[in-house]
Order: sequence, then C-alpha cells, then structure tokens
Amino acid sequence: MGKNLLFTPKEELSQRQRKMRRERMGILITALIIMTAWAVGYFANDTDTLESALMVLPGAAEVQTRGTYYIGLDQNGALVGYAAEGSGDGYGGPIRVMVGVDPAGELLSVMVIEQRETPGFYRLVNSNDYLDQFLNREISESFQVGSDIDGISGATLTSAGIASSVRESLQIIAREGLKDPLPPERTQIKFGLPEFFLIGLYAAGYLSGRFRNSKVKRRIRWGTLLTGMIVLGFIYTAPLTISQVIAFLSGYWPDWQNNLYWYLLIGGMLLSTALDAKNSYCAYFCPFGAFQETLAQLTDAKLYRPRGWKDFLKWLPRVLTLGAIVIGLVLRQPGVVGYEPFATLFDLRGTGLEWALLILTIFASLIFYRPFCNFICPIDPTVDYIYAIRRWISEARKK
Amino acid sequence: MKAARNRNLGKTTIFGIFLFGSVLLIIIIIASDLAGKGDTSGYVHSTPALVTPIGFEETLSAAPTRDRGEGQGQGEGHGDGEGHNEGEELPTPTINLTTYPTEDDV
Repeated sequence: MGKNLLFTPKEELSQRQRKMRRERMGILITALIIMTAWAVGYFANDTDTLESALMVLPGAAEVQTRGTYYIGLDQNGALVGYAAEGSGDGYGGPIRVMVGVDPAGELLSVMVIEQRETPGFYRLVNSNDYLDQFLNREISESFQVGSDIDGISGATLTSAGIASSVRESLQIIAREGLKDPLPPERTQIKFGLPEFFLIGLYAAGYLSGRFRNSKVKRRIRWGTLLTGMIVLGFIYTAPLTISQVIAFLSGYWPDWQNNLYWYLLIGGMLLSTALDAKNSYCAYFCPFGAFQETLAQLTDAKLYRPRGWKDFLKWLPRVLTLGAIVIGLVLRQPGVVGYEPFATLFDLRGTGLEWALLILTIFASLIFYRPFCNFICPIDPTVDYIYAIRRWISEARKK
Repeated sequence: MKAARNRNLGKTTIFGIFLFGSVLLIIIIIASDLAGKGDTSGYVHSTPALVTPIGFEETLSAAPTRDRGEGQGQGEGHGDGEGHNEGEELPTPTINLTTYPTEDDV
C-alpha cells in the first residue's frame, strides 16, 4: 500500500521501493508548496477600487459606492459621472479595468487596475496608444476588436481582454447607473484554423503511436513537427507556455466560447498525459521543439549529457519550473514568470535578454539534440509530475 | 583516445556555457519582468483629471498617470525678430502656488 511505503522504515524497503518512496514524497512536497503559494497569492492580493473610481472620474471630489458601481460627485455634490469595474480574459489571466462615464453616457476614462500579462505583450498595448481609442465615445458603441476598436498585432489576447472588460464595465454603468441597459452580448463559439490544426495534431500524435511501422511513424512525426512549427509557431504564435499552466493553476480559466484553443491545448496535454501516458505535445508538435529538432537534423546533433551531471540535469528544470510556478502563484501574475523564448522566435519580439537566450539556444541546438526541451523547458517537468501522480494512482489501484 | 577526450571536454564546455548562460539569462529575465511589472498599468482620460480630496478644498493635484498623461498650459510671448529691445513692458509674472494644509490646519 502507498501508505505503508511512506511510513515504513528505510531499512525494510528494497531499492525500487525506496525510489518509489522518494518519488511520492516529492509529489506530496511539491503539491504542498504549490498549494501554499496559491493560498498566499489568493489572500494577499487586493486592489483599492475606490481610489481607481476617483481617478477615472475627472473633476470628482468624492466617489460613493452604489452596489456594483460608483458615482462621482464634485465639491458641490453635483453628479460628475459613473464608474464601474469590468473584467475580461487576457493571456495571463483576467484583466480588470475601471471605466468612467459622464452622465450623458460618454466615456471619460479607462484605467487598467490589474493585469497579469507578459510584460512584453502589455508594453505593446501601452506603446500603441490602444486605450486612447475608447475615449470620448458613446456608451452604446460596440467596442469590439476588429470592428470599431483596432487590436494590437502581437498582443491580440491582451487587447481583446481589455476591450471585453471595458464592455463589461459599460454594461454595469448603463444598467445600474444610467438605467438604460445595453443589449446583452451575443456569445459565439470561436472555432477557427488554430483549433482545427490543434485537434488534428493531437489526433495524429495519438494515432501515430498505434502504427508499428517505424518508417510510417517517423514520417507522421515529421509531418506533425513541421505543421506544429509553421502553423502553431510562425503563423499563430500559440505554443503551450508555463504562463498558461500557472493561469490554469491560479484558477484563471477564460470563457470557453472565446478561448477554445486554450482549453484544447491544456486539456489535450493533461488528458493525453494522464490517460494515455503519452505526451503528444512535446513529442509530436511543440513548435519550439520542432524548430530545435530541425536544426539538429541539419548538423546531425545528438542528445548529450555530460558524465556525472545526471542528477543536476534532472533537477535543474524541475527547480526552475517550480520556482516560476511559486512566484507566479504568489504574485497572481502568470505572465511575468514566463521565460521561454517562444515569442522571440515566432513573433520576432522580445527584449535583448530574450534575444540572447534565443541565440544561445539556436547555437546549442546545432550541437546538441533539443537542448532547451531536455534541460530548460518547464513543460517537461510539468508532464513528469503528472506521470508520477499517474504511476502512484495506477499502482494504488492495482493493489 | 586523447583526441576523443579533448573533443568531449570541448563539448562539455560548450554545454556548460549553454546551460549556465541560459539559467543566468532566465533569472535576469524574470527579475527584470518582476521589477518592471509595477510600471505596466495603463490609464487614459479625456480631460485633465483634477482630484480634490475631501476636506482639503485648496488642494488640487493632477491624478497620477503612470504611462501617459495629458497636460494643458497657456502662455504668451512678446518680442520681435529684428534685435530691437523695444516693446511693451510686461508685469512681473506671479505664480500662485497651491497651498497645502499644514498639520495645524488639519
């Protein structure tokens, strides 16, 4: 029994049982660390929305709370406008905004009061004067990215998340403050080429394991690798990242109708790992893995592990991943701790440091087989952890 | 034998540079992102926001803006472009400073 294994004295255990015990202790300690980080982050972070409400109502001397919205009054007690908070799904989690509207229904101010985006994405929003588009417009306008709001190339989810949160604020103000409700938003399920390709790639990865002919298997694998690199990488820049895993753990689950890709990506990885014990994503279509493997193919690079480094190389990515997860959960900022150079390669966007990391990885990929995947990437330790839990459960079920 | 050992040593050195270089870069990337996250909020408003905290009627302060702000100003200039020093004598400008309440006022 698993319980016996954890509490039995070390001397009475075989080598294999000791290894299993170490693994199970590792699972429990990791789970405890993650849960503690989650709890610390959950109870520690709060934003003073009253102050934000005052800021989005220019000329207001005070704001008063009225249930879900605020009213701003000037020094003489005259109404200056209404303010309300809204929330929309960004890349790293919910984006909260405070919006101020004057009594005639004209938008006065927009303030992002909380966001969890990758700093690179958010800088794009700020540097493109994206928020300016919302000002001095009627509350009844649609505020849809691609319609009357221009999105930001390279920060599509962030710009859509802000627009969505502004719309939510305006719904509240119109309904509660102006007493003139806006028509409810129509929710459409967003299903396009990225979702289509993702399902196809997962299916190909799953089915390829059923073929016995290694030549066919190899061809399918190269097909999925190149498709993943071109479609999920260079065209849509939508690989799986540690930020998405942290957002998932934080409970920042976006609405499924607009973020089906997110659910397919994370759900597919979890399901294929937990149920089938196969990580199709990394092996078959990870865009960055495919890029490294293509480079390795050019120079016939092989997997390399220096002698005596085995334990260090096993623990390094685990420590990096756990560190990133803990920081992300404590700060409730999944976007800040993402360190993969994916966007730098596929979107040609990044800081000097991110470019340096990418160049180092490209150089190493010409000499060693998938060095980032094998020794740095946070997805592999995440998958290993799921495998370990799966092993524990299946052994407990056998007994 | 010696050549093979040297080749391996060279490979290990390159591997070490990649590994430790990457880890160092990752730590700096995360640290700089964490340091910069306080500056990433956004705020825009259509008119200069003047906030008058309750109880301090004489205190006017522009609402803090982190990334962008707006400002309004007026000014006049006099003079000509031919090097003459003639012109209307302007009164000495006076600046009205906002008076902030002292502890006694409070």
